[in-house]
Amino acid sequence: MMIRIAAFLALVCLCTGESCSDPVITPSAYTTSDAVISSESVFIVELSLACANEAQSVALYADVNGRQFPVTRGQDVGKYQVSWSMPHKQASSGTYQVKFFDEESYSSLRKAQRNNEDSDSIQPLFSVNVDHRGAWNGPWLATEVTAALVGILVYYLAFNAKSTIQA
Amino acid sequence: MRALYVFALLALLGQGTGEEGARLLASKSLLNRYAVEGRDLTLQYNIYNVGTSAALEVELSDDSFPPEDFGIVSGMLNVKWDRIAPASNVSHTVVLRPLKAGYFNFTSASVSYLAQEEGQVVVGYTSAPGQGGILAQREFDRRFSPHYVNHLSFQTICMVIVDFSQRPLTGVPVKSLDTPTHSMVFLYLYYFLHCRIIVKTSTMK
Repeated sequence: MMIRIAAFLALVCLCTGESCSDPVITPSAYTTSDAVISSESVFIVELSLACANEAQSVALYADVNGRQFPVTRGQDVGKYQVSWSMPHKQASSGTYQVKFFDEESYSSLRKAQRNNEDSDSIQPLFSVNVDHRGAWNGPWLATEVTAALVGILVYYLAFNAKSTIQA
Repeated sequence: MRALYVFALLALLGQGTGEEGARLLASKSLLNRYAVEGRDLTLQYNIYNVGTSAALEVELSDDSFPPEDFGIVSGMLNVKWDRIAPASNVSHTVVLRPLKAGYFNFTSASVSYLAQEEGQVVVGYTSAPGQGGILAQREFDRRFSPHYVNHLSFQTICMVIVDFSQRPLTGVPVKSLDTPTHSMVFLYLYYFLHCRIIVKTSTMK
């Protein structure tokens, strides 16, 4: 009898993840803008989450273009961060949609993926759009080359003018 | 390859008490080709669980960046994960901005976790990138900035000189003043030397 009660209580205690109702988020995003200094493009989404039911330790999972990550938690309550990196060539400019799932919706997402069902139908808790402007790789044509070309052009024009005058 | 040696070393150092349980290996690396004062410095932390069970209450904490020397652009230096499943990894990125140039020793961050539920807290350290130099803004610009003003002003000066040497102000069509300092050859030699000076001074220590 006691064992059954203990087992029941243990089962209840194992359900650690809390769910969040009416999430209110304040997101901020960072993407790499300079490809000369950085060797890879990184994306960072930081957000503060406030729940209507004041749930404290909500476990979140993020999905970006088919890649899934667990969401890192900061020291302060309600602060979360997702970050991922990819080589500059693969990090095309545009909008990346980051979907955030809680435990329940994440497990249904994984199940849908395992069974090859449509995973887009699973509703995320909320989602954040990240705008990536693309990392700058330096000017398309180096300025020394442009300057040399302009110099050659000017020389050619001057030489022509000179020949016309002298001819 | 170097990361492999580091992981092997960490694996030897982080010997747990039993065969069961989680074991975390963590690396800290700089994703920068150059560290420049006033520009973004990207750090990546990767944590791999090579144990047989999930690691719980994982906390990564990096105190090696004094706030007066590094500003935080994005990301958090003290973070935690609820669990890291066995045979999986997580990655965390932070972007800092060095406020001072000079040499800096990038040391390890610390990782603490529970190898088993109700187990003892295990503390480990990430790999350390080691000592690196943070370039001053001026030195980096000398080498990599487009030098627009330099080129523009030089071209303008060249064109003014060329104009005066090809068409004298009297308006009478005479032969050009092909004096040594006004010849095109001299101008291009001067331009070549100018560019050489820029390159030479930028590669000086």
